Amino acid sequence: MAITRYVEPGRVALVNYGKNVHKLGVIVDILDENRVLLDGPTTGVAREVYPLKRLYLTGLKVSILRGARTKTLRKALENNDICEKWEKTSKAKKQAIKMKRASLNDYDRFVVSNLKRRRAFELRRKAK
Amino acid sequence: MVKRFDWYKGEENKEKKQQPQNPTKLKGNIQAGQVLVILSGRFRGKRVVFLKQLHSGYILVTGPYKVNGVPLLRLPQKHTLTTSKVIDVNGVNTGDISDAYFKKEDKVKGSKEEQFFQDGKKKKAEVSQAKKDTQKAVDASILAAIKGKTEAKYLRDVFTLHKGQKAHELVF
Repeated sequence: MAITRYVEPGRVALVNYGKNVHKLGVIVDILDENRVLLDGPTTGVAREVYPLKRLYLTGLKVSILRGARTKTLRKALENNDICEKWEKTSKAKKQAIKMKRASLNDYDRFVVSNLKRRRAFELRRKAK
Repeated sequence: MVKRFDWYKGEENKEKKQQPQNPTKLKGNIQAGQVLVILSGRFRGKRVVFLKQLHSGYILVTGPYKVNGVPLLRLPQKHTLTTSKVIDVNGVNTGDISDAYFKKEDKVKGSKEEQFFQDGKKKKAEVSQAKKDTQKAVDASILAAIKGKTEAKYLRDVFTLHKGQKAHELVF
């Protein structure tokens, strides 16, 4: 299978480690084979150098020139509704579920496990 | 007029027990009705309802007894884990329960010979009827508040860590 998601200016990436975890940023420039300059004006990610290991390349892309300034990038992101397109992807939905599960408190966790048990009971009863 | 000195204070003037200088501060702003998880001792893992702080600094909790077998219990807050769940305990009256409630009853004294012969059949520690009544009275309104709700099942459930769960990552 050929690589389709290139590391290029305009590639929308998801930060998966560090203080900006779970946020979107756009690759603006490439430093070397390991690091890129990332900027996310609409999502609160400051213009900074990120190692590629901390990023997940999404299928979304914005058309900007290499080294585009934050203001230009912001306009491009807003014109293309990148945030809305992102929310529709399955990766975004799965991330939301993961974060929801991590935020459940002790009582919520019990409610979930209780519902799962009841559902399993009903399914087994119907299967008989 | 010469001031009269009380060199030897009589029985009536015996000083009352001092208030503790630094009463134990409870952590995390727990309120009456908050569900706590007991972390050590006989009832470890059980979820119980916090009632009040006793004079000695320990906290008073109850199962309720009918739900999970935990009676009125006195324990240090350090041995508990606070959850964010609060159960309605408006009708509960714990005013007359204090540290004296938990004082051990005096052992039956007998001659050493008598005790030796009795050792063969050990008497099970019995709970006095008074304590059973107090337990019932305190638990009554809590049971009414959770009757038929998921909260009742929740209190019956025992807390454990499951596969993949990390205690430091869990939200309580």
